[in-house]
Amino acid sequence: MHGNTGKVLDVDLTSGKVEELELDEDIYKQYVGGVGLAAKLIFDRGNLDAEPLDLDALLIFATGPMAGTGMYGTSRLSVGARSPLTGIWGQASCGGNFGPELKRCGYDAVIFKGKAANPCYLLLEDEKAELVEAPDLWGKDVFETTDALKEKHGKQHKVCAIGPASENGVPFGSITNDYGHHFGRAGMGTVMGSKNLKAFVTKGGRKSEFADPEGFKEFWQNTVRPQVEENIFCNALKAFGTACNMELKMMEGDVPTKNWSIGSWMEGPETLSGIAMSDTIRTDTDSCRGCAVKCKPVVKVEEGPYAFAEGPGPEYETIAVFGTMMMNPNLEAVCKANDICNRLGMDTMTCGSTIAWAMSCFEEGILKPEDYDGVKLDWGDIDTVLDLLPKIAKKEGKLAQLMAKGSRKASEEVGAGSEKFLTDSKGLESAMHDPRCNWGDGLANAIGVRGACHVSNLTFLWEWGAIEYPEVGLDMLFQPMSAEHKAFGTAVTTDIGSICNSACWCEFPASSLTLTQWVEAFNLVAGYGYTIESMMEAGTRIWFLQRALGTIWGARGEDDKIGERIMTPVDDGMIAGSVPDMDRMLKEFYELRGLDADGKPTRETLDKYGLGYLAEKLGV
Amino acid sequence: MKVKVRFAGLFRRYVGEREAEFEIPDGSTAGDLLVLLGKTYGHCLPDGLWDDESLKFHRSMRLARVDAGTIDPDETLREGDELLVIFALAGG
Repeated sequence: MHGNTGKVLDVDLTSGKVEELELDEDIYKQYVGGVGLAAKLIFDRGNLDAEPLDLDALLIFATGPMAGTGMYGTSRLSVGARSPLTGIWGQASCGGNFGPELKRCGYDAVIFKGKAANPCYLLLEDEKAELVEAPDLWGKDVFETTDALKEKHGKQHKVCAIGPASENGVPFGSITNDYGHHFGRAGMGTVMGSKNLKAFVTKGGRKSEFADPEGFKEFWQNTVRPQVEENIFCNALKAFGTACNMELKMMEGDVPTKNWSIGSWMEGPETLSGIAMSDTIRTDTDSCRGCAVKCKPVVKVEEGPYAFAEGPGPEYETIAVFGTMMMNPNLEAVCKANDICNRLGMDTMTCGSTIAWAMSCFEEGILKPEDYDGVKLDWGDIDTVLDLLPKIAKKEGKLAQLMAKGSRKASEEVGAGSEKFLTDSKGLESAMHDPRCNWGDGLANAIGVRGACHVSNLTFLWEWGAIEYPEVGLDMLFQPMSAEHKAFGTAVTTDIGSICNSACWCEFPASSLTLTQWVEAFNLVAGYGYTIESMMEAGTRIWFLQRALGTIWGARGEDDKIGERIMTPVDDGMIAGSVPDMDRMLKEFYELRGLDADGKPTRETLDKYGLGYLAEKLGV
Repeated sequence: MKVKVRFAGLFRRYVGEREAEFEIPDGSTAGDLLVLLGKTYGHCLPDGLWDDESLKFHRSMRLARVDAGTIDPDETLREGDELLVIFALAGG
C-alpha cells in the first residue's frame, strides 16, 4: 500500500490489550482517510448506542494519505468521536507535527476504547505500543504535561495532551499537539479524559512510500511548490496571520460583534487585527511541520496585567470571540485568554461564545448577578472573563458551572428567552463568520455534520471569491447576500471540504491547487486511481456517513438551522437588515442531495454512493 | 463625476491611504473604477493581486457601496458614491 500503511492500532484501555488491525485498500479510496476513515471505523466497529463518555464509546486519531510526504499542509491529524457537547458526530483536526509522526510509526489510525483504571498515556515508538500509567500527570495543564513527557522521552517525541478541563468533564475540552496546535472543537479532549487517557506520545522512523515517487517529486517541484509559495492568499496569511484582513471583514459585516447583535464596530479590528498584532506583540511566525504558509503567530506580552512569556498567539477565531464578540479591543487581553484556554485545554470558540451569550443574557436581565455569586459579565469587561476561565475548567462556582455546559445546554437550563441569543447549529457554536454577510455560509452551518462549522466545508472561501473550481462548475458570479447558486455551491464545497479534512490537508495550501491537481496528488502518493468524479463522490459519501451518524444519534431535519441570534437582523453596517433565506436554500439543497423532507437520504441516494449499509440504521 | 473609495485592512496597508476621491466619466462602471484603482495603486500591491498586463485584479476583488453591499463589475456608478474595496484575503 502507498501513502497509507493499511494498519490501524486498536487500543483497549480497560484491558490494556493493544491489537493491530489491517484494512482493505478500498476503504481508503472510498473514505480517503482522516475524518472519513474515523467515521467509517466508528460505524463499523463502535457501539452506536453508547453515550459520548461511555466506556465503549470509541475515540479515533486518524492521519491522511499524504502525512509525512512533505506536501504542504498535510501534517494535520483528525480526531473523531461522538461529541459530548452536541451528542452527534464530533470531529476536530489540527496542524502541527503529530500526523506525520503517527504515520512514521507505521499506522494510519489509532482506535481508543474502554477506560484505563488509572490515568495513563499511550507511548508509541515505531510499532511498539505501551500504555504507561501516569497518575502524576493528572491535574497538570497541557504545557506542564507536554514538558514532562518531552523531558522523559525526548524533545523529538511528539505529544498530544489534554488539560484539566477535559479531566473535569467540561464538554468542550480540547487536545493539544506540542503546545501550539489544537483539536479545539466538539469536545474530543473530553472523550479522551473520560478514558483516563492523559496523553498520546509518538516517535517513529518509517519513511513514506509513494505510488509514483519520481512523478511526485516532479509534481512537488514544478507545481505544488511554486503555486503555494506564490499564492497571494497564502502570502497574506504568512505576513499577518489568519486575522490579516479583519478590519475589512468588519466593514463588510463578516466579523460577529457584541454576540452578533451589531453590524460594525471599527474600534475593535483597529487594535485586534493581524496587522495590529504584527505591529505590536508578534515576535515570530510558526508553522505546521514543513509548511511554507507559516500562518501561526508567536507573541509575547512583556509587562502589564496581561503579561506572559513568548508563545503561541491567537488566530482569527479566538481574536474575534474574545475580542469583538465581547466588545473587548485589547489584543493583549485576548492573547491572555487564549493562553489560559490553551493551558487548561478548552476550546476558545465554544468557551468564548458561551461567555458572549451570557453577556447578552446579563444585559437583558435573564441572568442576574445575585443568582451567580454576585458575578456579572458586562460587555468589554475582559478582566472578569479572565478570572472566570480557570473556574470554568474546574467547574468552580455557579456561573462557571453554567458556562462549562456550553451555550446550548446552558440556555436549556436557564430558559427565560435566553435561546434568542444562541448562535449554534446542533449545539456547536458558529465560527466567527457571519451568514448574514454570506448567506451560503448559513446553509453550510445548518447542514454541517458536526454542527455549525466553517472548516468541514470551504463554502466561505468560495463565497468570498477566494477560490473557484471550474472543473466542478464553481466559477459563477454571484452576490454574497443572496440565495442564488448557494445550494449548489454549498453542496460542492462541502464535498471538497470533506475530502480536504479526510486527507488531513490544510485548506490554505490545498486551495492554491486546482481539483485536477488534487487528483494528481492523491494518485501520485497513494495510488487511489481517482478521477475528479470519483474523488468528489468520496467527499459526498463521507458527508452522508457523518450525517447518518448524527441522525442515528438523534439529529433531525428540523435541526438543520442556524442560531436564533444569527437569524435576527442587525440595523447597522453593510449587512443591515440581511437575513439568509434559509428556507429556499435548504429546500434546494435537500433536492440536490437526494434528501427527503425529514432530511434523510433516500434509499436511491444511499445506493448511489455505496452506502446501502446505512439503510437499516436510518430506517430508509 | 466624483466618487470616494475607502481602503481598509490589507489594502490600506498596501496603499498607505484610508480613502481617495476619483473623478471619473459619467456612466463609468464598477469594473472601470477597479481598472483605474489598479493603474493607480498597482505598483504598491503584492504579486497576484493586480496584473499590469491584463489590467485585472485577483478574482475576489470587488467594490461595495458602503452600507449597501457588493456591486457587480458592470454596475454603473453614481455621482457621490462611497465605495469600499473588498477582496478575500483572510482566514480563520
